[in-house]
Amino acid sequence: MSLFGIQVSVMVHVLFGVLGILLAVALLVYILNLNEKNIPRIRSLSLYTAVSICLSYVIGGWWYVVYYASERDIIRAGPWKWAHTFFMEYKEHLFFALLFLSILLPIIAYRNDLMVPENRRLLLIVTLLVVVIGLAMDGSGALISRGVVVGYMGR
Amino acid sequence: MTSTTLDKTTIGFGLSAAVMSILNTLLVIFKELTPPFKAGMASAMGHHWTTHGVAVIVLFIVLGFILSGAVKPESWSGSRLGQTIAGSVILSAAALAAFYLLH
Repeated sequence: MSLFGIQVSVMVHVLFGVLGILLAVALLVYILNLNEKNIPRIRSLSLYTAVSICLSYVIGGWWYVVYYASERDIIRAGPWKWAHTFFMEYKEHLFFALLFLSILLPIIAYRNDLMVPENRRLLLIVTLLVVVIGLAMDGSGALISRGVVVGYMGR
Repeated sequence: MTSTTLDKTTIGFGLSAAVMSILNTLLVIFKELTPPFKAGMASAMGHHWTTHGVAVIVLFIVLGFILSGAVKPESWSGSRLGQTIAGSVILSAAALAAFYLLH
């Protein structure tokens, strides 16, 4: 793949990740303002969040396995080696928890009566976790990208 | 008072997410501390992370279906399941961070 294509694929990974976070925040707002009329939208948003996070995982995972090694070497040779040794290692493994939780969202939303306060609370907790872990993934990704830049600057 | 309104699939996959978050962290720690095992994972599917991902996702799905058939819905309220999932995810995230800080 061309250099342009490789960079675009990383950006598409980020795009779906950020979209997933935004959808989860929107879902959070609807859950906090739950009524009978909102339930179809809550169900749709839970599904869109899961799809977006799954797409981010597949695209980002493919890029990581195929193309990340050269960037890793640049980061590790630079002054911000912790961008890889901590943040990338943390991100690539904590992402699985985010994946499980995002898949769980539509299962909760479609298969339960959300007007029951206990069920609403479960969906709220899982959505909150998706938002918080999603933001942690996004911040880690930003630091990893800067780690590459700092690595190049130090050459 | 325990609510009986959660369906079994939700409980099964919720518990699977909780269990797999912990197992995911344990697998990370084990493979990082056992280089031959990590090398075996890498040779299995070309990259240790690919093998790791396939293993935890397949286990999440299989465990989800098994637990869906095994759980008693009356034992799990939404709050209890939510607290179990949150506790497990926070614990596994903290353990993963601590491991990579110290490793």
